[in-house]
Amino acid sequence: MIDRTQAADALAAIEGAQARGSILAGYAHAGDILIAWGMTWIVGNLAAQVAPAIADPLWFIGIAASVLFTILRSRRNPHSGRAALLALIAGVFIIVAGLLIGDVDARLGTALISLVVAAIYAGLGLWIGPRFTLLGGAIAAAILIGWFAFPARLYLWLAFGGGGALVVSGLWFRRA
Amino acid sequence: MADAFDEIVHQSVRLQIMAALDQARAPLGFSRLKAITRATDGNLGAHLATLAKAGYVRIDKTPDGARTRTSAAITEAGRTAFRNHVAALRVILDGGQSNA
Repeated sequence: MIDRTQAADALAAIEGAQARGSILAGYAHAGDILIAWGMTWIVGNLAAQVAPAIADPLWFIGIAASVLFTILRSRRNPHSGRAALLALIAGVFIIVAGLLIGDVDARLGTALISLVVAAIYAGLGLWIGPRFTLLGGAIAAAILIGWFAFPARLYLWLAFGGGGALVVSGLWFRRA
Repeated sequence: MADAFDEIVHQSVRLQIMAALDQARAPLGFSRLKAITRATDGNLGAHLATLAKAGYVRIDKTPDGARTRTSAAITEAGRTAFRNHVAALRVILDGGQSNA
């Protein structure tokens, strides 16, 4: 006969398994979305480094496409409506902040906006799973390294450090 | 409710497998189940086989190049057995008895 303690342990094991299942499902769902945003970062920042005249239009197109992809991708998961809304809010913030700050100091504006995005990912980890916090940390590290150590190549660092972190993380998350 | 207690489901790894499959809306791959249950390959495979033999899960093996991808899904019988078992556990927790 099992006792109340054993029954409680069994119910806790069920809860633990389902919590791990939810986190892993969240990672797998987010993988393609992270890759899409990573590609936007790579293209936008590369353009800012080598072809500044076309950087803003490329950013606008990339952000809009990534937001749309996030919304469409999230329709497959009925629990991801809030994630899609968050992507939309983040996309609007990035565009508006860029318009406000861009003329003052484009490099500072890009770095600040990127740090905000890194903070959002780090914060998401508190709800979705710790891999997002690691991702936010990696992006922030890339930004700060680029800003302080390689200021003349900041956009390259953001492209391959930040964008690369998103793409690599996306590939990792997809395997969850 | 005492009859709802299921020895096949109650084993620790199998309980976690059933919990994960009951929650999922689609079949789960072997690697996902391994991450959830934290079981070894052999251990997980053996418990999946036990559940399949009982008719509680359906196992699918699909070729993927040189490899074979294994996935598992809960059957209706398995879902019923799992949910009845959970109800039996709650009865025990609330002060009832089990025939285990």
